[in-house]
Amino acid sequence: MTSPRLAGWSLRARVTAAGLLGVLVLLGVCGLAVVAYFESTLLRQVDDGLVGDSEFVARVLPEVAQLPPGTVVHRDVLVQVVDPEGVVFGGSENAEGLPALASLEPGEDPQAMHFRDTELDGEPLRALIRPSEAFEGLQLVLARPVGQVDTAVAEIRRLVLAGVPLLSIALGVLLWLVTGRALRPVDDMRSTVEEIEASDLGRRVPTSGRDDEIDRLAATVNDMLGRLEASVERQRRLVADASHELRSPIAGVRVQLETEQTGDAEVVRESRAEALEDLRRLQQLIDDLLLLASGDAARHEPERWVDLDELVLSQAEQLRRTTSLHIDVAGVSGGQVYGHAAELERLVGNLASNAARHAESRVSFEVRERTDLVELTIADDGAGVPEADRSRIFERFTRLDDARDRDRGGAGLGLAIVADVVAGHGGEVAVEDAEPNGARFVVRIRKSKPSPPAPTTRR
Amino acid sequence: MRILLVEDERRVASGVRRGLEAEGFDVDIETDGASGLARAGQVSYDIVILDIMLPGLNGFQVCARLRERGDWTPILMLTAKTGEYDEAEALDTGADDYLTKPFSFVVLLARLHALLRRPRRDAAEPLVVGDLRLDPSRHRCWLGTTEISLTAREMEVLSHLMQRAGLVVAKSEILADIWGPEFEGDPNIVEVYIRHLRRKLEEPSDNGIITTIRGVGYRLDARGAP
Repeated sequence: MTSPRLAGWSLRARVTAAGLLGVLVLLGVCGLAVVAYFESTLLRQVDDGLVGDSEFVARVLPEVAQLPPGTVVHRDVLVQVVDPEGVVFGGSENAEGLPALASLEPGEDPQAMHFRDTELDGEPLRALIRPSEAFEGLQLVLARPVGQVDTAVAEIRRLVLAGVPLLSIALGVLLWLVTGRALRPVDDMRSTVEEIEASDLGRRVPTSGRDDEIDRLAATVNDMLGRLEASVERQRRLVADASHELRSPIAGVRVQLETEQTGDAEVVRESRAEALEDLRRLQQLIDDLLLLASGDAARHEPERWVDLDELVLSQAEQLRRTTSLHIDVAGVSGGQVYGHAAELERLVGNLASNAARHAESRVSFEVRERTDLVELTIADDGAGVPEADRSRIFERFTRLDDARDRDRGGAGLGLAIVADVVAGHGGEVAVEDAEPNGARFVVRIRKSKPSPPAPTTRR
Repeated sequence: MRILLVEDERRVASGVRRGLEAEGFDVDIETDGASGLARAGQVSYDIVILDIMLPGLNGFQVCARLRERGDWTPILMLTAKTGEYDEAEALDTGADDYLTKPFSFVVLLARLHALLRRPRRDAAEPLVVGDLRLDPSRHRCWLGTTEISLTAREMEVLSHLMQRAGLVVAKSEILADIWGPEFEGDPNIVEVYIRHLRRKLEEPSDNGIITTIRGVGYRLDARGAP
C-alpha cells in the first residue's frame, strides 16, 4: 500500500502522514457537510416562518388590503397583496411603495404556495406567494431578507476551513510525538543487539513488562539470544574437549617414534603397532568431529537406497581381519533403508568398533527387516552397560571408565555420532543386556520409501 | 598378478607398493592421469588402483576413458571424500569398487582379492530381457521407460537372474555367486533381495517378472510372458 514516494519514509513519518491526511479529509468532509446541513436548516426555518406568518396574515386581512399599522408579524417580513399582473393592492407598512416582490409565473398553480429567491436593493430576499383567501384572484406575498443566513453560513464555513487544517496539524504533531515514544524501545533494542558481540552473548534487550507487541518482540529476541548463547557455549565446549582428545594420540605417536630404538625387533614391532593404533584412533576422531561439526545443516550427500546388510558384512569382515574376536553374522539378513549412505556407514562402523573394543571374545551382528523398519543389532560379550548409564553413553565425550576406554581406543564421540545419525534418519537406538553377559545395541530405522516406489533420479 | 597404481602422493604410493609386493603382486606406479591412461593401454593389468585427485586428468576422467575404449580391467578407486566426489559417482563412471582415504591396507587387500574373484565384465552391453534393461557398467536399470533405482547388490542379483533368463536358478546358487561360498549370514537374505526387486519393479508378489518355483529357486522372464 505504500506508494513509491513513501517507500523511503520512516514508520513514524508514514503513520503521522497517514493520520494527518486521514483526519484532514475526514474532518474536512464532515465539516463541510455540517455547514451545508446548517445552511439548509436555516433556510427551512425561514421558509417555515414565512408560511406561518402567511397564515396569520390571511386571518388578519379578511376584507382590508392594508395591514393595520402595528400588526405584529415577524420583524423584517414584508407583506403585499398583489394581483396576477403584479399590481400591488396593499400590504404591510414596511412594504409601502415597493413594487411587487413576487408574482406568479405562467403555468403556476394559483392555489398553491410557491417560494422565490429574489432581492431588493441588492439585499437577498426569500419570498412566499400564496392565494389570499379573502380576496378572490389575489395573491399574498410575504418576503424576508436572508442576508443574515448567508452571513452566518459563510462565517461557519470559514471556521471549518480554518479549523480543520489546524486540528489536523495538531493531531499530526501529537501522532509524531506518540509514535516516537512508542518506537523508542524498538530503537533501543536495535542498538543493543548491534553492540552484542560473541564475547558478551549474555546481554539481553530491555523489556518494559507491559506485555504489548513491542515487549513480546523483546522477549522473543531475548529467547533467540539465549539460544545463540547456548549454541556457542556448546561449540566452545566441544572444541575444548576435542582439542585434548586430538592432542593425545598425536603425542602418543610422536613419543613412540622419537624414542624408538632400533634393535629389539619385538619392541619395535610393538611400538609401531601402538603408533598405528593411535593414528587410527586419531583418524576416527577427526572424522567424527567433522561429522558432528557439520551438524544437520550441511548434508552434502543426497539420500538413496542403502543396504544395511552390506555395511554390516563389510564391518564384520574388517573386524575379522583386524581382531582375534569371533564374529557372528548368522543373523544378518537383508535390510534396506532410504538415507545417507556415508552416515549409515559411519553408524555401523562406530557401533562395530565400540563392540569390538568392549568384547571379551565375540561380537555378533543381526539385520532384520520388519514391516516398516529395519532392525540392526550388535552385541558384545564384554562388561555390559549399567542401566543408570544407558542414556548417558550417547552423549559427547562421555566414557564410563575413562582410562580403560581410552586405552582401548575410545574417545567418547562414537556413540554420540550413532545417536545423531539415527535421529537424522528418524530412528532410535537403545542398549540392553546381552545374554549371558555384555551389551546389545539395537538400532531401528524407518525404511522410509519416497512416495512413488520407483524414483527416476539416479541417486 | 599385475597391478597398476595411479597415485600422485609418493608416500601412499610407495607404502601400497611395498605392501602389495610383499603379498606377491607386481606393481607399476604412475603419478598422473595421462601417464596412467597411456600405461594401461600398453600393458595388460589385472587390476588398476586409481586415485581421484590426480594432476591433469583426474581419476574419473581416466576411468571414463578406459571404459570408452573398451578396457574393462577391474578398477578400484581411491576417493578423497571431499563431498563433491562421492562413491556413487565412482561406480557410475565405471569403477568396480572404491575405498576412502585414509584406508587400512588390510582392507585394501581384501577388496583387491574380492575384485579378482569376480568374473570380469567384458562387454559394455547391457542385459535386456523383454522391456527390462540393466546396464551394470553404468549402474542403471530401466523397466520400459521408467528408470529403477537399485543398490549395487540388487543389481548383482538381477544381473545374475537376467543372465539366466528363462531358467530356474537355485537360491543357493545366487547366494554363492553374489555373497560368496563362505557366506556366514542368514541365507534368507536372498529372499529379502528378491522381495526388494519385486517391489521396485512394481511386481505382484509372484508370477510377475520374477517367479518363485517352490522348493527350487527363482526364474526371471520377460514382462508379460506366460
